[in-house]
Amino acid sequence: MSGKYAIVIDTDVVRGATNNAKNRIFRDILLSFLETEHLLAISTPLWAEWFKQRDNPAGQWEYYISLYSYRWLTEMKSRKRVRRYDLDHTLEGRILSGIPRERTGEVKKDMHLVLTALAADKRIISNDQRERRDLQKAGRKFELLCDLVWPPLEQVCAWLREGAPQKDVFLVC
Amino acid sequence: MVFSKVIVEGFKSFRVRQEIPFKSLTLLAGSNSSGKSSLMQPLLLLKQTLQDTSDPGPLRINGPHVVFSRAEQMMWHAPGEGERLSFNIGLELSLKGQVRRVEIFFQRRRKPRGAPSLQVVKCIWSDNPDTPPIELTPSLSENEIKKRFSEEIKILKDKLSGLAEESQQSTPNNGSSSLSFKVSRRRSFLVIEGHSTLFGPVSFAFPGWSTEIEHHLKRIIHVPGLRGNPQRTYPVRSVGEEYSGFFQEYVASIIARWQRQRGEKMEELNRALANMKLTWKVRSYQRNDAEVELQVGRTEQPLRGGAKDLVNITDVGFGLSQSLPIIVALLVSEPDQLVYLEQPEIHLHPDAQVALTNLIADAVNRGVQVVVETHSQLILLGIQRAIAQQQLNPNDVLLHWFSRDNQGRTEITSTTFSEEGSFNNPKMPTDFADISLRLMHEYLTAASDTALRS
Repeated sequence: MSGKYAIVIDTDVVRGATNNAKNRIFRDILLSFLETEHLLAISTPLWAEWFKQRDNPAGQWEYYISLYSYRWLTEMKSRKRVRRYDLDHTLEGRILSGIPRERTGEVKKDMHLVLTALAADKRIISNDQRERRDLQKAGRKFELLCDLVWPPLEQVCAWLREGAPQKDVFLVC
Repeated sequence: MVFSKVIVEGFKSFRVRQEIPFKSLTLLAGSNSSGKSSLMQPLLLLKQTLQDTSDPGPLRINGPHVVFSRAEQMMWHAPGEGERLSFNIGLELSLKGQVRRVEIFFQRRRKPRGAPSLQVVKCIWSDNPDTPPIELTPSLSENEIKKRFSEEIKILKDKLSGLAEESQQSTPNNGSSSLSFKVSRRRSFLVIEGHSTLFGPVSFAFPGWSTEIEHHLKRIIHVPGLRGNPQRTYPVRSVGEEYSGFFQEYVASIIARWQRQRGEKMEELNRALANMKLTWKVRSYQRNDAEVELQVGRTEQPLRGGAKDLVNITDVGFGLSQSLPIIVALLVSEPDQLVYLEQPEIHLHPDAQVALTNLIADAVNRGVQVVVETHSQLILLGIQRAIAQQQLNPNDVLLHWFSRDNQGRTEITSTTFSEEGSFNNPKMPTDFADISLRLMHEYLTAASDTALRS
């Protein structure tokens, strides 16, 4: 492995790492992440989203992230591999300027993910393909977004083990 | 902190010389047979040698804390490296800003012929980085001693002369004719023994502080991983600062003393047992002048009329009898005393393991030095939580992770902790979470595959 980067992980991944058969890829990704040396890039709003409480079917509250992810995060923290970033909210307007009006609401909702990635090493692990396409469009007006590395989920484990390089095929645009 | 370093070379899996630092709380973790216990064995060998009732030779190799049957079992060996005949062990004490060290060099006799199989060939004492260490060998002659230690001898003579003047006795030739010196073995250590006939036979040894090292070694409380089966009764033991032999044999007598004192210790003990969900009460009952019985409550919480609901400790689960020596050791230990706990998690439910970390933190905060050898991710995480919650000072805690290379040599990776309880060393090979996450992942994958197939 050649690189060690601060990478953002979307809430859908840490939430999805459960016992659901379809979601084994999320558990695989977190395990691969732990077994490499990469850092987890986090910001206050992203952290808050991960730890948002919700009711489960039994009527008890639980965190948004799964128990598996909780254990993973504990170990990442224990190994000093969680790095917190302050967000540059002045970029929001420039990002949104390239987004079609009907999609701005959705992009705003996930703005903290993009801003955290921009503040860190511009690498995102997420299953939100719609968001990726939105950023691709926005990249035409705000070129910095095109530097974001966002590999397809099924290639993330191998990419992490390779050192999370900035491969052209994984760039947002 | 008392013991700030253990020094080993050629001892078991420690091939090359290593000085391994200790803090107020030192955690030893890592794979099986990687050298965790071996690191503590030098201290325990010295303790059991010092506490033997008769002189067992330079090291008591078969004792209550460490058991060997042949001297070579203590020595590093590997195919193709030839027979090793020597090893050295040592320690460093740090007390009130004063650092004192001793390193002992042992050699194996090829043909002991009834003599102890080991001999001490060198002993190096040092207590001040600015002055050269005192290096003693058994062959050091009296003339060499007088030459090398002229200053110390002069101080000694002056003291003796002063005493002689005070007692108005004649001091022919300023006392020197009545002084003789030789290097002697005092159990595991070589010291200079002086002899004066000025006031009748008077013996003294230096370095004088060697007795301080012996004192702290004897005070070590060792709670081994194998703590024996619980007994219907335990022998009555005198309780003091030193616990020679098996610590678990003192537990009933310690509890009996706390009961007699009617102080806080009994409350602390019962509170700890309740927090660990083991029992609500323990009581010591003296059967006769020679035997004490340990009685415990059957339940976690007292029941109505439960004061009489006490049973012998052998009649409840192993968790209680196995963890009682650990809890008692942590509570009875004094500041500047070392408590060495081997696998304290054995027989304990996860809840109890977590509660145990609070007891460990309390002991450390009282000034007790604690060494914990563990395979428990909960104990490690519990300590990290205690640091993050500011119950433990991160500067007081050290983790040594043990592994062995392909030659069988022990490799130690160490880390201190940040204020958040994280490892300061990013290269720590701790694998507790990796193993549990991989297992969770494999189980969930297999379970969902099975569900899909059916």
